[in-house]
Amino acid sequence: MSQAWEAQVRRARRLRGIERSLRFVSPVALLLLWEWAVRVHVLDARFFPAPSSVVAGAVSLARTGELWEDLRATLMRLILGFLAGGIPGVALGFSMGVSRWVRAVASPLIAALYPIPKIAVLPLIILLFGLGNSSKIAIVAIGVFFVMAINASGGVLQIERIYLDVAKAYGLRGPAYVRRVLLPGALPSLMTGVKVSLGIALVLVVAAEFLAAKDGLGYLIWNGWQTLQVEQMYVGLVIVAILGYVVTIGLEEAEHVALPWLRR
Amino acid sequence: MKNHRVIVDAVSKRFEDGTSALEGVTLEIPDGQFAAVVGPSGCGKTTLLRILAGLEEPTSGRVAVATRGGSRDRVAMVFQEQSIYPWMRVRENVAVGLHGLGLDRARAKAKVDEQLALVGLSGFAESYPHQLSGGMKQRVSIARAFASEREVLLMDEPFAALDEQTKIGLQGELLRIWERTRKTVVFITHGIEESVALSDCVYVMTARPGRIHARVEIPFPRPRDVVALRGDPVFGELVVKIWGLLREGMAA
Repeated sequence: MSQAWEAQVRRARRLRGIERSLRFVSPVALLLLWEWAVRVHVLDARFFPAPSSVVAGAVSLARTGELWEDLRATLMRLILGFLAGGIPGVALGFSMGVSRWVRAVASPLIAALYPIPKIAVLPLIILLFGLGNSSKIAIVAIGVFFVMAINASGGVLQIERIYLDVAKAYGLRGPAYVRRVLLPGALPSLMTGVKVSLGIALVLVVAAEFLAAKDGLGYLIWNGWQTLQVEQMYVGLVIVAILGYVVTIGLEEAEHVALPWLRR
Repeated sequence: MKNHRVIVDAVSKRFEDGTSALEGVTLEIPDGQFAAVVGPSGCGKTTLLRILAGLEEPTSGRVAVATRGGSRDRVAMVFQEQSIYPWMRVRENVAVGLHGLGLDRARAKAKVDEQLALVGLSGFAESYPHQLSGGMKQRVSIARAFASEREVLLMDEPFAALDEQTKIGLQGELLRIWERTRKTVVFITHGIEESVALSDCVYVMTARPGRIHARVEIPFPRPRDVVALRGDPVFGELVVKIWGLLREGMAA
């Protein structure tokens, strides 16, 4: 009886272990396939340099310090832009979720502005903010703002009515109400918003760095293309991919820790 | 005014879509009484309770919960559905009831521990609701209401979603906890046996729009044994009598 149970527990743990390790196995398998394809000349090394030579390129860029400089610049824009857009976005979204008046005023504006491709606004942003860091931070902030506002208001609106009634019946108001009821109630939707908007932010920051920057991963890629250094281009691409991967995995782990009541 | 704790005076409620939920409902519940309200489903019992809790406004008429403070903030509510917060531990859920009492950390903790012990959940203080059974969740909800120290308890079919054994067990526990403080209770139910077993007085409502059709005194002394009570011939007579009144009310 207890032996059978232990076997079951072991089996469940093993399956969970496999599930987790697959997240590392699948990218590695793809890289190995790629390396092999270049070595047997299925892929043209001029356009698709082998992962090993991309790594070699990354190492030399890292030695000169250029890679870290670009990574640091992009990360800084990403983080500042995310905060500059995310905080007001969540604040507006929460107000929309709580007040039908704010919702009535803000939702048509969001519906009209959200679908405009953010990249299309970049020339205007550069006009307003210049070629420095602030234009890149602004474009990221705009992209993040809408996604977070939409997810925050949706998150509040889908909190079951009974939970709001209980808060009202027991006199939970103001900051305590936001912190103990609205925020945790909307948290799953907020986490989705963070994931989606970080993806968008990465796209926007790289695209903005193509056009108007002297550093950053986007600049690294663009510069690689302009000077026909294909490997440098790939280094930039791979670092962006790794960044996206680390952010996604990191957020999933954070979700697991921050939302213990949703663990199944 | 005699020592009436809960006063419902000619309360009517019409919703925006035109349906009339309550019509001229008048109740006077004395201090310390356990009152039950039974009625066919959809008769507006829950609406009546939500008005008492301040969650809805009556279309006409007036409700008053006479308290020393004089505000409706002095009622605590136990809801029918799953109403404890899934993101809070059991301890934090019970502590929601303490909100606004101005207790310091140590006294709040002691109060929560005391209430958890009363409902037999001491071992689950740090658990999350998804780790509890339906009956345990309702106990948390009851502990939250009693912890609030409010003078009037409003209970909206709190045991409706539970199986029969759990339900009778919890009825006994509710009475045992209630005996300690004898707060005024308004207990909504569609269970006739439940209303007779628990209350001092049963109000029978008519079908929608809900009106008070009759009031039946329940003479059993306290403390009561909710299981033994069911063997008492008077218990059966009262159940049959209320059944008859309900049927009249549905025809009316």
